[in-house]
Amino acid sequence: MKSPSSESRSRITRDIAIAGFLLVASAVLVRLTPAVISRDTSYRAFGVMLGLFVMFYANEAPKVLPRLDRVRNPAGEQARRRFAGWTITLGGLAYVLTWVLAPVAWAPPISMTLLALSVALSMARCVLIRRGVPSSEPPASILE
Amino acid sequence: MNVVFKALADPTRRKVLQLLQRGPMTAGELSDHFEVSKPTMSAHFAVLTGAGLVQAEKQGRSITYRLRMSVLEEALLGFAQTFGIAVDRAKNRPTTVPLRLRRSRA
Repeated sequence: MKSPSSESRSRITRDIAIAGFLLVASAVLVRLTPAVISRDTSYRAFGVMLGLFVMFYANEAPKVLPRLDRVRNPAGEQARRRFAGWTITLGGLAYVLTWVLAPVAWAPPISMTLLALSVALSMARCVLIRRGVPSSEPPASILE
Repeated sequence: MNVVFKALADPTRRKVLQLLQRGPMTAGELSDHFEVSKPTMSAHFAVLTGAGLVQAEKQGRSITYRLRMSVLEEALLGFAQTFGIAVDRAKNRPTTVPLRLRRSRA
């Protein structure tokens, strides 16, 4: 298993690589538009890239854990992170699908609304968990 | 990714992950749910920790395990639980002998 310092070092390297990729890909898209690819395709490609970016980081969110002795309610903290990870990943997926499937004129408002909804949903759930509303537990059958 | 599939291939390890979905648990609390020896459970915990699916943290004299699964890994767990990943079980089994087997042999 990797030590925490080597893990954070490789994470920083990966994040820099992703940021570099986004910059280079954006520059390439700008350069190729409209001579090689149409403005709509370029617009869609950028939307898909942003959605994938959101999905990637939301997918990783439940893996980033604070130290146990610094958390007041470890089960609630875990539930918050899991729920936020799931909703924002699905929001990112909806964002990508909207940019792939919807008409270009409609893609920005629809995708932004879906993503904003997923963020709002995860924030609302965080507030509910903080207030002590019990989270749903897995069915008893799988715990036997 | 291969270590994740290996970790999810065993039903005991999948059940440990499902128990941890409720919140952090100590090694003893987790072991109470299984009829296997402590060394066997330790081997399972080591596989899960090695795959990065759980995180172990020492608190006083006990070790507390926490879920450390990404959304994709949780989706894989759900998939494995529903359809069952029947990867070569003999390869994935920890090297120690389960308690009930040892009892029956005695």
